[in-house]
Amino acid sequence: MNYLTLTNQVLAELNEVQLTSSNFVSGAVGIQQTTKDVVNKALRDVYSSELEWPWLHSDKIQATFAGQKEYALPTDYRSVDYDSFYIVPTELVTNSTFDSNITNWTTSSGTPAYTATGNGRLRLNAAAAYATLSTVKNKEYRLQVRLIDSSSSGSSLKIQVGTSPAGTQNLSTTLTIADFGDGSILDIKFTATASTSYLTLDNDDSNNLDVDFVKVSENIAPKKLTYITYDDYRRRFLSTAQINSSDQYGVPDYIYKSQDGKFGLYRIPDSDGYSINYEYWKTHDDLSATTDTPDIPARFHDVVIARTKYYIYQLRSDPQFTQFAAADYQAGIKRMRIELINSPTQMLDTRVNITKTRGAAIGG
Amino acid sequence: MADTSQISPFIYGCSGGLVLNKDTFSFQPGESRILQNFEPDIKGGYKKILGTSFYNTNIVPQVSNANERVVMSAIFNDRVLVARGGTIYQGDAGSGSWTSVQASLGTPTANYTFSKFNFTGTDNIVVATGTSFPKIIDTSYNVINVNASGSQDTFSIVEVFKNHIFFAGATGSTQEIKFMGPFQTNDFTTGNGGGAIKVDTTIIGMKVFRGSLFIFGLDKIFKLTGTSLSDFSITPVTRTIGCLDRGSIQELGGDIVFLAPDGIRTIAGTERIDDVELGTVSKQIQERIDEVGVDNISSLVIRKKSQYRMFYPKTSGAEVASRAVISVVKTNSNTGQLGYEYADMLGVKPSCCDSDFVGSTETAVHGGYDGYIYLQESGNVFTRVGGTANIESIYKSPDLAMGDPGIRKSMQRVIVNYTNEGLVDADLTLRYDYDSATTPQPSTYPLNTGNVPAIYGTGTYNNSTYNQSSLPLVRQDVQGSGFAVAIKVIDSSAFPPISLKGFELEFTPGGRR
Repeated sequence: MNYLTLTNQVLAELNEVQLTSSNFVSGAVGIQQTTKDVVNKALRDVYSSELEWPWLHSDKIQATFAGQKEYALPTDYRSVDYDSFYIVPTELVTNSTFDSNITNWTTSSGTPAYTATGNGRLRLNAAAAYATLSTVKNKEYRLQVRLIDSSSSGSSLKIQVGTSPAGTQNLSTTLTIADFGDGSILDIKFTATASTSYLTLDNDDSNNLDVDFVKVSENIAPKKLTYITYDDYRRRFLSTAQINSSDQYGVPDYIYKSQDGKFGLYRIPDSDGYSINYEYWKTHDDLSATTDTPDIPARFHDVVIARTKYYIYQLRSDPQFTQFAAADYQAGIKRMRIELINSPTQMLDTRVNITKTRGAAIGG
Repeated sequence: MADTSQISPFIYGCSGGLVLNKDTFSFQPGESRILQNFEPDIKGGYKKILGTSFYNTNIVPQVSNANERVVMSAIFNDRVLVARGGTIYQGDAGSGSWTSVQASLGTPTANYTFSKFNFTGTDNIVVATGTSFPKIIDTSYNVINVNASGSQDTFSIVEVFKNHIFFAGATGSTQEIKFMGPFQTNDFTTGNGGGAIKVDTTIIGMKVFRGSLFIFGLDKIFKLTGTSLSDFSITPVTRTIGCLDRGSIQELGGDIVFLAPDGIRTIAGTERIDDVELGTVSKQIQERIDEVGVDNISSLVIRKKSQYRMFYPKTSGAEVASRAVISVVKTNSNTGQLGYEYADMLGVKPSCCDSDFVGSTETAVHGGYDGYIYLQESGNVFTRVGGTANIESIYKSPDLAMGDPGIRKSMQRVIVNYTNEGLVDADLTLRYDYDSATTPQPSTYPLNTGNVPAIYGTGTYNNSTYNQSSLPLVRQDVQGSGFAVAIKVIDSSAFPPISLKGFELEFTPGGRR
C-alpha cells in the first residue's frame, strides 16, 4: 500500500470519507489530515520498535585516507553492526561488472557493446575497450577477468595493462575459452609503473566475446576488523596513535566507535587504497507524496493501520477501541519480530577460555 | 437477539417545510433549511413539484414590441383569456392561434384584474385594465364596454360581490370604490342600486370572503358588508396593516392570504359569523419575505394541494433565477397541528396567473414575460422558449445534533423513505458540522432505487413493477462523522416526482473530540 491507500484503509475502517489522488496532497481536511499525519507517526512507532528491521539494512563502503583515523558514519544511520567491519582493497575499476551498461569504458577500436545476457556483459566483436585505473607505482595489483565465448569461436581476448591505452608495459596476456558454454576466469597480478594505468580488453576477431566482469585491486588480503570499545581504544592505543609519526600507520586491525557519531580505525591507515565495508540500519523518511510506499513489507502494513487507528481512537476519546487497536498493534509487532528478527537457534560463546579455541558454536 | 452494535437510530418525518428563522438548536428535525422546488405534500413529506408546459405553443401576438409581457391570463369558458400589449385574446389549449377579443386598451401599466360572474345564466368575466374602461366579456366573446354616464373611469381593480360589480383604482380616485346596481353590467346610477364609497387609504385590491367584500388598502383593510346600496356598510378590519400588491391576494383553505409589509398574512374566518381574525403566517420564512420586491407579484392557488403560490420575479431577472414562495396548509405530522408550510420555487417567471377548473380538471396557467402562456402542474420539466430545463429540487434538513451537539456521530447508514411515481434519479448527500470546510464531506450517494409499483387498474406494461413497494425504504451506507449532520437530497432529473417522507439516521456515538 502507498501513502494514499494506507490512509484510506484507516479512513475506511473508521467509516470516514476517503481521499483521492487529486485531493490527497492539499485537499485533506479534519480527520483526513489527522490520519495522514498519524500514519507517519505509526510508521515511526513500527520502525522504532526494533533496531534492526531487515528492510532498513544498508551497506557502506568507506574509502580510507592515509593518516586519517576517524570517519563519519552515514547521516541516515540509526544502528551500526560493529561486528561487520572488514577492510578490503579498493576496487579500481569503475563499472567492473557491466550490470546495466558499459559506461566508464572507452572505445579503443571497433564498437564495444553492452549485452544484457546473464547479469550484464561487455561484448567485444572486432573491438577493444579500456578503463583507466588510479594506481601506485611499484605496487602489486590483482586482476580478475571472466570471459564467455558466446560464439564458440575459440577466439582469444587480449588483456593488456600499460601506461597508455592498449599499452602492454605492465601486462599482456590472452584468455581463450576451451569449454564453450562455460565461462573462464583469469586471475593474474601485475605491478604498476605509473600513477595512471590503462587496462585494455581487445578481441581482434569478428566473433562475440563477452566479458562478465573485470576486477582490479591492490594485492592486499581482506580481513575482519575487531571491535573494541572507545574506552579500550583509549586505554590501549590512543597514546600510540597520537604520536606524530608515520611509523604508527599500517593496515588497520581494530574498529571503535567514537563519541561523536564516527568510527575510528587502529592502526591508522597508511594508504588511500583500503575500503572499509560495513553494515548498518538506516533511518527512514516520512511518507509525503501520494504514491510513497513504506519500506515495511506489504504483508505487515496492517500493523501500521492498527497503530494509526490506535491514535485516532485516542483522539476520538474511544478507550475501548483504542485498546483493541493497541492489542492488534502489539500482536502485529510480535509477529514481525518472529518472522523478521528471530535468528536461527545458534549462539556464539565469546567468553575467554584459555584452554579452548574462542568461538565454539553451541548448537541449539 | 439483542442489538450490541452500539448503533443509535434517529428517525424523523419530513414535515414543517422551509424554516429560516430558527437557530440550530431550535429546529425540529422534519423542518428544512433548504426546500427548493419541493412542495410540502398534503399526503405527508416533501414532494418534488411538477413542471410546466406550453398551454398553447403559439406566442400571444405582440402589439407594439416583443418585450410586452402578458398582463392577464384568466381561465374562462374552458379557455384562457389573455392580454398583451393592450389587446385581449382568447385561445384554446394546444397549437391553435390566438383570437383577438378586444384591442386598443392602451399600453398596460400593470396586470389586469378580472372577476367572473353569472347574472343571466351566461358566464361573464369583467376585466379592469387601468388604461381603459372596464370590459365585460361573455362566452361568445362579445364585449361590453363599461362606460355608463357618470362612471367613465379607467378602473384597475374589479370584484363581484352580492350581484354587484365593484370597481376601484381609477386614476385620480384611488380611494374610491364604485359599484353598479344588482345584476347591472353598465349602470352605476344610484336609482338602480349603484353607488360609490370612499375609504381613507389608497385601494390596492378587493376580495370577497365569507359574505363580505374585503377592501385592501395601502395601510388599512376594510370590510364591506350588506347586500345592497341600502345596507352596504364599511367597517375597518385593521387600520395599521395594508397590502403590498393586489396580485398576492388569494383565498386558500378558508382564509384570505395576502402579502403585507411584514409578511404573508391571513384573514381567517372564525367560528362566529362575519367575524375574522388577522394572522401572520410567514414568520418562518421572513428572511425570504424580505427578498420579495413589489416589481410584479402574482399568485394562484392549487386547490387540490391546498397550495398558494406567490411569484415575485424581477422584471429584469432571468427566468432560471426567478423565485416564488409555495405555501401549503397541512397538518404537521410531527406536531399534529394544522398550519402553513413553505417552500421555495425557482425557475419559473410568471407575469400573471390564474387557476380554475377547465371542465372538472383544476388548471393553473401563467402568462410569461416572454409572451407565452404556460400550464403549471404539467410534466416533469420546466418548459421555456429555448427548450426544456430539468427541475432542480433540493431538500436540506436542519443540522441535526441528534440529542447532544457535543458528541461526535460516526454515521453508518441513512434509511430514506419516499414514494415515487416513476424512475428515480436523485442524489443523497450528507453535510457534516454545518458544512464545515475542515470536516471531510462525503460525495453524493445515488438515490435511484424505486420502481413504479404496479397497482391494479393503474399499472402499465413495461413501466410498473409487480410486487414493488409503494413506500420503499432505501438503506444507504454512508461515511463520515461530525457533531451535527444534515441530509441533502438533490433531484435534477426529468423523472416523475418523488415525495420524501422521512429518514432514519444510524450512527455510532463517539467522544467529545
